[in-house]
Amino acid sequence: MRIAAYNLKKTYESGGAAFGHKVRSINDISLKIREGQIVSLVGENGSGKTTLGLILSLLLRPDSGQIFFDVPDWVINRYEIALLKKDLDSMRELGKDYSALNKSKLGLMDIRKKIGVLFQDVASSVDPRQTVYDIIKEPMVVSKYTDEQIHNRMNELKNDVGIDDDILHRYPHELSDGQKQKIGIARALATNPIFLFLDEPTSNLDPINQRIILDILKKINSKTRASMLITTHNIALANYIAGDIMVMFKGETEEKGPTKEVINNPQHPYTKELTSVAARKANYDILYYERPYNSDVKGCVYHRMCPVSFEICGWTIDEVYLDLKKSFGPLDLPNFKLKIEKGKILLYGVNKDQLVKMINLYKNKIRSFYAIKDIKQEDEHLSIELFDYKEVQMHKVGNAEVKCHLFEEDVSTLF
Amino acid sequence: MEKKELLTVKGLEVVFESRFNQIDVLKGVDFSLKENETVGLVGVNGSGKSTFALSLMGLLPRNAKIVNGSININGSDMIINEFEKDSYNRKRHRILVNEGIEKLRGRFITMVTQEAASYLDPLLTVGYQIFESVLFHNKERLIKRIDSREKVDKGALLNYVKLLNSKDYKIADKFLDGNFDEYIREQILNITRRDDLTDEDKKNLILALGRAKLSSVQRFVLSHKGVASRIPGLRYILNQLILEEGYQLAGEILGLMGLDPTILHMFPNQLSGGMLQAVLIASAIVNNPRIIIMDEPASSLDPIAQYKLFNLLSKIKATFNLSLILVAHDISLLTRFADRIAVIEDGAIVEVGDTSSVINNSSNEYTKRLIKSVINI
Ligand SMILES: Nc1ncnc2c1ncn2[C@@H]1O[C@H](COP(=O)(O)OP(=O)(O)OP(=O)(O)O)[C@@H](O)[C@H]1O
Ligand SMILES: [Mg+2]
Repeated sequence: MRIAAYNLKKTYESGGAAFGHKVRSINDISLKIREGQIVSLVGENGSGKTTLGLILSLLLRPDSGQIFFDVPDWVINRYEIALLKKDLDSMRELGKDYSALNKSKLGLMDIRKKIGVLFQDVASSVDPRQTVYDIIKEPMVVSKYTDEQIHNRMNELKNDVGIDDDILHRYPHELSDGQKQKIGIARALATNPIFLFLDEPTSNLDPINQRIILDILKKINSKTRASMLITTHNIALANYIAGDIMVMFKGETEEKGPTKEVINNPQHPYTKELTSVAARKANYDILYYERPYNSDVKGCVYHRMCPVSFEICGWTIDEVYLDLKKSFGPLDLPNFKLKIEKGKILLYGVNKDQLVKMINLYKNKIRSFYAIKDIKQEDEHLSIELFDYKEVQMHKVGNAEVKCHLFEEDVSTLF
Repeated sequence: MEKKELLTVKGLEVVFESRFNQIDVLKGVDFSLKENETVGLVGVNGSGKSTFALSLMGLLPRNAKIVNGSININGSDMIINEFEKDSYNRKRHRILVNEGIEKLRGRFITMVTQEAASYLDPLLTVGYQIFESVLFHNKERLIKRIDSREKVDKGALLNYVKLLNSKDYKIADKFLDGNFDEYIREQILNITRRDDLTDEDKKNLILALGRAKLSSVQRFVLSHKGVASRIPGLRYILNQLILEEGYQLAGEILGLMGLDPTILHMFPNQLSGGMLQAVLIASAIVNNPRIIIMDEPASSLDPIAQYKLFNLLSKIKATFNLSLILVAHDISLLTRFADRIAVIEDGAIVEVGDTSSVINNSSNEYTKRLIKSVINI
């Protein structure tokens, strides 16, 4: 099945509506999957991979965006032209007529039946009172298979996925983690779907079973031309099975393109870190220097963790404030005080020389210090002004696309 | 010097009873773990790794039964073989699980599993969840820590720091043992073992232990605990003191692990999966265990978090003198971090040896197949 999705957004309420706290799950994701193409999704925990997959499987409604399934070429072409021209009216028109999100319940059901899904946590996505046999059978019953068809398909699945007969009559809680995962895969494959979303299909499998499952998926893919979206934490597996890869961080696409190219020649700083870790080349001396996730991220979503971020990457006044507090805190200066006032940071109990020394000392470790544009002495305090940040765009690099300020044309003037 | 064996398992057999039949899952497992050692456990799905881990903890599900073998933890037998006569006067073999395991669980031996987030309470701070077990099972320890600071001999602290200055660590160690009680010693060690602090910082922190002062009300409450706990206002002060001390202890543990102590006051949903896993480990470590079992600790983490977690494990292993059993499918991670690897096939350990010899020169067909199947980048 061919899928084209544009500008998908989804926000979850966290802590219940009473807290009114919104968490951005995915933000402005576009993705095209050709017939017979396998795309892998990689990225950190909580970066929105599952949300994106569930939206493309029509199990979750995005807040905005369009998804086209198997529509004629001219629709996609026209939509993309309208997108380039920011012609919202045409986009809405095309969306209304062709996007799956606007289909009636019946129309939606038709597409939905052609999609197979493996949930990340198999045990909690199935009915614990059903036996393994019934769990695998269920989608076939929904698709009105005859008893004979079910019997035959069940035998095929058992052989392909490698499920022992004695397991078929157990309940999910009587299985090992890997066995549960295999049951989930058999269920997803049961009705010969033409689009498969597999959320971490091999995370609980041993190396032998990993290879078996990936090889089955490859075989199905070349036999039926089913397209697949597979999330994984294992870059080597992505490389083994998927022709294309998409790297996500905090709900955004950081880099996408042909897997070989992205893995062998990563461009985005996050992709670089991922691949070097996967190749066991990275060396961390600080084990966990993570900034906790709370407030919204401005600019590039990766700028806080990025080892090469600079002025325009998205530093906000709060971030610089916290970093100053952290670096001066341990010194225990007698009259030290920090304040935010009218968009500026005010520093008491430190002189300009001390501050400049601190900034130069830590600039390469505490990247937010790059955002400091000007320091003025005012009465008894210093006042700090920051550079403005810029929103980050996708840039074409080779056959890949990368979202990073480093690829902006006018960046060179900053160095 | 031969290292001491902390855990010895011989001929362990476990069966599961299901509706129709009985499945033999462990069929005579032999296993050992020495002091300060990391052993990786690998094997195909369903070979019995998790079952083995659970039986060490005394946490097997109800339909599982140990039918034979022995588990010895730190010198005491966890399984008692009993022979009783049945009504026909035939000898019958019965296996009992020693109640001792209840006492060891969580203290001497503990387990951290995969779903970090689901074990943490979203409404409680991370710091609280780290010291929670101390609060419920060993409140006395927190009170004694405060007490020990109130009573510490400041002259002795100063002399200890002077010994550190002269870099005569052997004498300093002796002095530490001879002049301070167990609780102050714990706090001093928690400072000196940190590797993110300069020597100067450490000395200042040690001296600061002697300066930590309670107000007169607080001191009264602490020395009249019995009375205070019955009077609401005073009970509040007592609880507050104990909570603060808990956070203090949790902060020390995070510091020793090289983690940012600012996370103490955050809630689980503000942290990434990797950090949550680290928090679970901190809450296990706070009780000074000697053995930690980890069943697939990293398989649901992203690669960077996985790598950091294993780095963290090897660091704390040295700092806290721990022995680890790591169950994992990712053989390349184990290759980096395990001292020995045990291979389990169909309920029995078929090979065990130094990591490099198992990975590179195994003559066992099953091991070779497992390793050959790994997909590399
Ligand atoms: N509660 C249970 N009731 C019946 N059988 C069980 C139960 N739990 C596990 N089993 C069976 O015991 C065997 C060993 O399971 P175990 O979970 O120990 O395997 P494992 O090596 O941890 O596998 P994995 O790598 O998939 O996690 C499997 O055949 C499994 O089906
Ligand atoms: Mg298991």
